[in-house]
Amino acid sequence: MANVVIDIAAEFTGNKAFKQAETSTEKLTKNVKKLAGAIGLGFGTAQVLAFGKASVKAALEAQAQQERLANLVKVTVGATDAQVQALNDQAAALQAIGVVNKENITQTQSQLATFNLQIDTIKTLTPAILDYVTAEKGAAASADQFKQMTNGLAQALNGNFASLTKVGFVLDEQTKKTIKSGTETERAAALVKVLDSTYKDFNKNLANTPTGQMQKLANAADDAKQIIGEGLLDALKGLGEDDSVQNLALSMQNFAIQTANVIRGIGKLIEKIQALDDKLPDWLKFDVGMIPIIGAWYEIAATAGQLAAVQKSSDNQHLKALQDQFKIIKKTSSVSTKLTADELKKLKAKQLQNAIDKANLALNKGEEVFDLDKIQIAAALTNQAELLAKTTNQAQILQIANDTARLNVKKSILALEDAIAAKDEAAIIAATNKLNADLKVLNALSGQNTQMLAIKTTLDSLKPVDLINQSNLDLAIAKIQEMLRLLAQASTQAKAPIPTSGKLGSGIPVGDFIAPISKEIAAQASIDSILEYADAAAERANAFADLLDMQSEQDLKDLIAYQKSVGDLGGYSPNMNTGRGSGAGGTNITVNTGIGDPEAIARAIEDAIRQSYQRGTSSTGLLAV
Amino acid sequence: MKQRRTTMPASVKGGVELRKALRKFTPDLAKETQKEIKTALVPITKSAKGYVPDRGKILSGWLPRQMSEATFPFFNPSVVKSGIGYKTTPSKANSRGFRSLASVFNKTAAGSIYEKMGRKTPDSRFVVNQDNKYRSPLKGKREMEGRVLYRAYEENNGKARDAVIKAIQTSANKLNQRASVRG
Repeated sequence: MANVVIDIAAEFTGNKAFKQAETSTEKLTKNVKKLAGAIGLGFGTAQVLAFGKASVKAALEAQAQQERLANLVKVTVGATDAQVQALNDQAAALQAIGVVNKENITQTQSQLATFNLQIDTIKTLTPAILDYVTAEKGAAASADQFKQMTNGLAQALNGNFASLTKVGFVLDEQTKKTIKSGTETERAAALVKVLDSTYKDFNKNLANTPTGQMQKLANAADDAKQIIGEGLLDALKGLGEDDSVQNLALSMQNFAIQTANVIRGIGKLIEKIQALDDKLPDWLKFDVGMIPIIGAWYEIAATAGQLAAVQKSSDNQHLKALQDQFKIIKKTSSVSTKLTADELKKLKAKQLQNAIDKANLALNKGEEVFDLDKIQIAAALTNQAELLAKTTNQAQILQIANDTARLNVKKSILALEDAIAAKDEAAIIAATNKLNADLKVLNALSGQNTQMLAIKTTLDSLKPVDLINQSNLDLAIAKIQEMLRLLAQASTQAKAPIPTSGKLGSGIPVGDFIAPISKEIAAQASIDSILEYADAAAERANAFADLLDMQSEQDLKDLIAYQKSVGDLGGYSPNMNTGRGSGAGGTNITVNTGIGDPEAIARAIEDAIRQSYQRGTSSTGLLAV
Repeated sequence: MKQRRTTMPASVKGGVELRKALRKFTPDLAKETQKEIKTALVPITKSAKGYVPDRGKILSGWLPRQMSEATFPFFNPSVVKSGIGYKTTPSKANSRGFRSLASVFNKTAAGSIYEKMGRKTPDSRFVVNQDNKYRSPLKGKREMEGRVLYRAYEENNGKARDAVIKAIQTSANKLNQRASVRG
């Protein structure tokens, strides 16, 4: 579904395809060509004019940056002109040693100034921020990137550490405390220390790489453009009654066209004179300055150029220095280019290989941390930490921190693997640094954990667990009591008189008694001795039993003899208990049956039973038959 | 969502650069220009919102209802009105390389349908039924013919466009005037 949009006013800005075609390399090439055009290496009027416009624009932008910085520091901290100049000097010095151009440095200083920081603080922070930005974004970091990252760091200076922690910085508590509660100087120093721990001199070192050299070349070209632009601005303002930007641009265009024509004309003239000069004898040879009319104009122009306020000598010197720098860099670059046509490829490959090697080393360390065994050990340690948490929470916190560090390591490993897969050298280096930082943290935590465990083990070993264990103590007491009881028993048995048969009432003659053995003593005796004792006891018992039988038989005979003597047998037969089967006087009972009428026998039995019932000697009078 | 640009607007050369310069060197002038452009565009959007019919003038089946799986956009007058507005900041360049400096829009789907319904198929049942319930005239020329925003723009008779151009020109003149002041 289409929207309804009415464009009231619009501007044609050119086809997007053209813009997309402008790569950064082409831009750099264009800048170099512009610089070459500016120093007279031969371009048409259009190029000269375009470069002039660009130069003016660059000069205006640079001036705007500096004015912004000056206004900010004057308003926020009441800076003096000398202090502003000190910041400008620092920007120039930092550009000279690194790859960041002066405009970006000034912008960084301006951003810091918006946080109401003192001049000294800005000067302290700026180099560290340049190192940080160039390390993270490369030599060609844009102005917006400088602005954004400077804002993040300035926030960190105010206690918001997100910008630092996002990129992997680990701040210890002391640093955090310093940044949160220290003075401005202390906070800045702490932040610089944190940044320097990873990025120190990155900007400076980057300038020595091929990429950095190219960036310095571009910076030099931009500087030259600015200086030319400033000169053009001043010169063009003096050309006529320019009362608007449009008129100024028109004047500038006319001036450029005329200048180009004059240059061409002078070139042709010099060419002709030199051709003529070659044909002249030596004594007639002269230089251009000696031609009356042309020479006068030439000298006037040269003198005017030197003395004119619009072409400041300092600018010229700076421009000359830049041209020299440009030549040196160009020469170095060209030599490097010639050398590196083949070698650059090798160098790149070598650098990439180095980065990958370092990454693999870090990965190996990381893999060790994250293999399955380690995870299982970590799980066991976590359980241990939970147990320890009953006595101290610090151990559990430490363990959780340890696990978190492991996860960070895993994350860094994945990032590094991605970077290696993409063969992005900068990303590999950054990811390797991050992984190493995570591993450092993990190692530090692991060390603390080990130390804690060691302390715990030592403390455990000092605890007198066995001596104060109640169950062990009870067992010991029970054993002692048992020993005392046995000792008392043994003592009693030892002291007690041996029982006699008379005392026991067994009928065994005194002195002919074997005392019984207690179960406790029997339990300690051997089986053979117990069996031997049992056999002896049985034999003795049998002997006494025989003796008792003989005594009983004799007593019965004596009784019968006595009863016979008195003539009263008490209803017993005189032969009782004397027959066979009844000991000494056995009695035989004989029942005679089977003779006579069975019916008669049955009646006789019935009668006997009935009589018995009637006498009360039988419990029932009923007969089953 | 695909946007259909209308016929060629007034072309301003250097407008984007001017806006940048204004913001960079004369922020007060940039704000003033924005304000003037806004003043020029508001009458169009205000009258366009007035041309959006209320619920009673819309076919009942086109109004939003509790439960429906239909994909055809419902006509909710308040939503349609909220989708009518203006923009005073430069847009991204389109495929032909033009960047809009100031624009008015009617961006909801239902609003767009109501805007243009019947231009190509005036005898369709939907258009006839809606016209029977409430007839709103189509105004404008060719692609810029419509019932709401195009109608308001047409009735504005180019006043907004002239005012926008004038605001830009005025700010350019003021910038030049300030730039030419010599210290």
